[in-house]
Amino acid sequence: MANTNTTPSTNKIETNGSRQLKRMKMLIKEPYLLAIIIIIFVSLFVFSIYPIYQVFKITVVNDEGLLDLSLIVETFTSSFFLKTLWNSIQLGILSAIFGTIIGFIFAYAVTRTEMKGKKFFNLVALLPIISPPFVIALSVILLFGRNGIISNGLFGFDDSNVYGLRSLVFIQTLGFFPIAYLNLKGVLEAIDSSVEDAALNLGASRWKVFRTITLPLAVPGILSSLLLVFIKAIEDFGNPMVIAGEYQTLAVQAYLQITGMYDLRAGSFYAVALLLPSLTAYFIQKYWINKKSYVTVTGKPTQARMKINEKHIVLPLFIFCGLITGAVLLIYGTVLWGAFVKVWGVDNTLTLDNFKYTFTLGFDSVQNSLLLSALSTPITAILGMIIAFLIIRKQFIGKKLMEASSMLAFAVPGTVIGIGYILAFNQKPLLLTGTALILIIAFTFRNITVGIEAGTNSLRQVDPSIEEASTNLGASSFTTFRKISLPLMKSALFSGLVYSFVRSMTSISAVIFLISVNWNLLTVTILSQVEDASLGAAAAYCIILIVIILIVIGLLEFFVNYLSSSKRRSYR
Amino acid sequence: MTNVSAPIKTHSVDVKLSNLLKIFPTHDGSEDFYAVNEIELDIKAGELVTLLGPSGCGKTTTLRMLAGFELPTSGSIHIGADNVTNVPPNKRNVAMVFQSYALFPHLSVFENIAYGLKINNVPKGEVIDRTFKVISLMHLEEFKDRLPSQLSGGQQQRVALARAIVTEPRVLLFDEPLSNLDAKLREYMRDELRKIQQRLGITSLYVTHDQTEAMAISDKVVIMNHGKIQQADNPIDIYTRPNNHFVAGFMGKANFLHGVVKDVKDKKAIINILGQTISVSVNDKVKLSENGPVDCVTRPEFWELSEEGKFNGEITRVIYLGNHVEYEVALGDETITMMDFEHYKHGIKQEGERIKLHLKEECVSLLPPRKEYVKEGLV
Amino acid sequence: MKKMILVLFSVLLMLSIVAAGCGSGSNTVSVYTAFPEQEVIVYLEAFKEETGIEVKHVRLSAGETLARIKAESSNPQASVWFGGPSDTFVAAANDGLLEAYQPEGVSNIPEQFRDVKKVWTPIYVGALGFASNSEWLEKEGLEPPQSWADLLKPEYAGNVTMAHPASSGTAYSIFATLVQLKGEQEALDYFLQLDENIRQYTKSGSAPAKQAGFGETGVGISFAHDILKPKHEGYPITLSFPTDGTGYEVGAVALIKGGPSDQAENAKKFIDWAISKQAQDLYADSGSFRLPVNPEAKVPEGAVKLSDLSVIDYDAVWAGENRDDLLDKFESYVVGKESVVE
Repeated sequence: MANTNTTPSTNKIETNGSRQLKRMKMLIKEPYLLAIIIIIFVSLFVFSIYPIYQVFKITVVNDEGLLDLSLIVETFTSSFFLKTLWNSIQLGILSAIFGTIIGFIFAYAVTRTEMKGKKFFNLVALLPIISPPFVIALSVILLFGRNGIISNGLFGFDDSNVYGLRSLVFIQTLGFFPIAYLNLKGVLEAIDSSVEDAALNLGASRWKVFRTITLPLAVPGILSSLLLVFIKAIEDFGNPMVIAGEYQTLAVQAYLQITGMYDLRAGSFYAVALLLPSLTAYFIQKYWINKKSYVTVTGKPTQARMKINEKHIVLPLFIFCGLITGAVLLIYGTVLWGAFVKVWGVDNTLTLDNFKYTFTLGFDSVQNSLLLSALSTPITAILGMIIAFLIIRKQFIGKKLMEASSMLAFAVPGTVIGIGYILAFNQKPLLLTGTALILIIAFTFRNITVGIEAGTNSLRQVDPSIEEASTNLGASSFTTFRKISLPLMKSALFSGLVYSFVRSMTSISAVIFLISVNWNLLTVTILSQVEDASLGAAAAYCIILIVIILIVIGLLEFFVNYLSSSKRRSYR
Repeated sequence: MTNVSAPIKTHSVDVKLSNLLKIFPTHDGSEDFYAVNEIELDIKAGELVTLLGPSGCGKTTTLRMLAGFELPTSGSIHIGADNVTNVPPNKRNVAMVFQSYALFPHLSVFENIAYGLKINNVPKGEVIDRTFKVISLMHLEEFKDRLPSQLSGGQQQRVALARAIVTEPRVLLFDEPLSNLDAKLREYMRDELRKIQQRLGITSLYVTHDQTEAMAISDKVVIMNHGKIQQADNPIDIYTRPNNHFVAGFMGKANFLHGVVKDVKDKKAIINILGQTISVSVNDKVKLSENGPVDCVTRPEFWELSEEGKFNGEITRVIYLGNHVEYEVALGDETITMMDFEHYKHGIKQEGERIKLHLKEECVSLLPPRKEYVKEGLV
Repeated sequence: MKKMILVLFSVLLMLSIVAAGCGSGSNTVSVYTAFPEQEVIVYLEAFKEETGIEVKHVRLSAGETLARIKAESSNPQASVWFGGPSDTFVAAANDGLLEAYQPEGVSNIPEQFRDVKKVWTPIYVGALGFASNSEWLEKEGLEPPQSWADLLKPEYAGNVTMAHPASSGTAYSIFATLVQLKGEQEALDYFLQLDENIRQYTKSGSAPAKQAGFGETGVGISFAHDILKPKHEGYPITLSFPTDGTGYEVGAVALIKGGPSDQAENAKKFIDWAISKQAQDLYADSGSFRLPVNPEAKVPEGAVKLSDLSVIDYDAVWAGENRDDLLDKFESYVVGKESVVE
């Protein structure tokens, strides 16, 4: 039986094709798996790729169905378009820089110092993430408008102009610095503390350590934060709509072109113009910067780090974080107060009228938002986990394509998705406009990347042999996924659930194109109240929205913990 | 754990790997990698066979093909009468003990062990019954409600084994199961594993890169290198009658010495090495021709310090290892490694000291000559 | 497995709730409305009380409604378009998006307000006016603007707010009024100059008046009823009218062509109701200051009748028919220029 000293036989070499074929054969042995892969591919194609393709198509194809580049030429040479494009980019860059600086200081203070009140700062910094974006714009008007408590009440300015670039940058910075903060917090925590300790040990001062070790190691994180905030700031629709004034941005123009002028082509063009910078930034962030990252996740708990507690370092950081936190609290406190005041700035008597109005007359949109988000959230999270599982653990043709296309609807600005859905689903056989389904689908495919990212990250940390062990003991792929992989992805599942719910509840840029008489949504209602200058009602809706989100997060946390702990009790 | 009657029914079966080939494509599209190159292997019912070899030799791939986690490029796998070559891993009824144990971190010890039974729809009462039997067989009673993270390495190892045997598999697979344990525990668990395997009589395939472990537990040791089987024999023959330089070098230390055949008769060969003549028993692994070259495999323990020894040498290095002393000795142009287990009698020699050596000629085995000599085990 | 079934079951349950929400039966009517959210609620509640028919609504400004009806023309979601100036209705009728319907009692309404093509039905009228923040006027020592030309004065720089003509019917009426008053080129020049003084173009037509009330802006241009409402609520607003001629809107209601078929009867009932005395009285009762078109209805106290103003002979049909063309010009000439000027 010993088979020594023969040369490798060459007659058995397989071609690439037959190897692929073999893999497919293996899949056919598991028909459920194959079916799921096919279903996912089809739905990604129909609900992510196809609508975006439609948006591109309409910009280069005229009403007669012929290739027509005149719109592009015309628009690109129009100074109004160029101005709008520049406005968006300028807004994005400024917000990205300020947002990242604040995010970095927050992250550094929280991860590296013995500063007091870290938990509190951390909590407050998350507030903008779980609230609809234009809450800050609303609050800025309440605070700094002509009749604002600060501008007029405190300083007596009666000619403060809150509309324009400056307030917009302020708002976007405050609204999106938490993204930079969370991103950088992860990066700073992941830097092996022994590296910094080694530098200290070699005699470097705290400042030297920061400048020569911490900062350079955090560079990839800083770059990716810049890009993330940039994308968020330019694709945001709510804040500029409320407060941009004369300062036109692409997202708002795309909306006005379509809803005001019914010019789908021009609107799509603005949307595409918005898509290019943000998509580029997204993929740079995803593939280029992530690859350059020095941080490797070992899964090993790093030993406790010596925290900085020198007063001259901690105190300025504390003051800075305190100021930013104060600003966030002021913003949200104002909205809270605004919800209880009769007529903002005119009649400051406290009243429950605003809530009475929202509860008795305008509660439909609250119910709709809640119902549709609640429906799409589990679908998004489970589908995300399944795709994560397939991508990490299974071999099949087109895996890369699945990964990329699942990311598409996330990376693309909501405006593009909204327009794409109108274009794609306004005729039979896929006549979905006006239905609840189109909103659920939009939520699901917009947010699915969140679930996938969380799932892949947690799956990578699970030893694949754990799943093999289950298969080895007789479990099918499906059973293994359900009994082993899914429970191990529990925390990822939770964050996937929470994040997709929050994003659904607070989204506006995509859904504003998709709401209908039967299915109006809370965020759109709030925006129309703001537009109507019914600030009290708008504030009351915002408060309701935030409270709902907080309650649901609490429930989800309870639910996920309950699921895992109930298993523990059997056979005791 | 010896006084419990075996709770597991076993149906020992043969395993047969025929002409098994596994090619992995390389990423840059260059030459394909032959992980397992047309191997043949029979495992008799109830036998424990070890696959031994350096990393990348194809032993783990072979094991994983038997488990069904890899599909062979060609060839076939039979378990008993069944051809399982293309049967999915979850339908093979072979149980595996993983290197990392692969315990389900979110399930208790009990649930881990019961998992395979529940998956296969065993009635609930029976699940509890059988799981408890295995738990007591493995002495895990007091840990049954703990999570894997609350167990020591040895305990985790026992849970992994318990989980594998509870389903009464046809074949038991071990993927370097002891490599994560410290030296002492490893020896203990090694013996436990063997005892349980023998008691249950489950046909087993065991992968390791530790030759001591392989010899200690195996009915048969299979040495692999570059995807091929180099030798498959019982531990004694593997050690004393290696097929080739690789096997000789891999199974402990070996000094290969050039020799010239002077005469062959009565299954004995007279060979010149290092200017001396020795008499060695002939085997069928090498064709001997008069005045032809031959390689002599001399293990360090074949040499001893002796005033009557034929070989004169000079000590070039001394390593004290407690129960023995290892010397490097220059013998003319060659340098050999030898072990002295009697240093407490005649003291430890010094570097540079001249000594006389005796070679236990009856232990020496012969191999066809090779140009480059392999000194220390690894190729 | 049991848990999976449970999950599946609950998803199905929720989906069926959604489905139930969709096929809401014949006891509803879906309405796009340009009335402010808080005002329209009053009307819809009254309608429900009277007829028992549930109304679903989305508030969209007139331009948005037009765009949406166009977009949905292959599958209209709503059956009634309620409120907004008639010129947008004319534009919609010309595109064949509306269903002609003449409700009971339409003959009571003065001829001048009615649609010659009998597609839409008038429900209120109101003239364009200026809402000035009284406190601001006082502080700056200014008189409320008395003419369109007044708005160009440097004192008003950065303090005039109007809606965007593309999105708002009100703003389009302002634009069309000046074109009818001055001729096209001069009107465009006027808006180019006015643009210098504009603080913000809002989306909704009633917002400028509210903003003037807040003090967010000095002067807002809106319809009188949109100005009087916040004034009545206690905002410091001074209402004035251009003496050199002002336009007026005829607010309208119409059936959307091809709306949900099970709502057809309810939609007609809704329009019948909209011009009834009870409905028209609501303007007075709810403090909205719109001028009813039904001669029998109460005129809200404090509302300014058209006959008291120098109104031009506003041609809503012409305005509606030329909407696209005029908006294009506005967009390229005024808004487009602005970026060059800056």
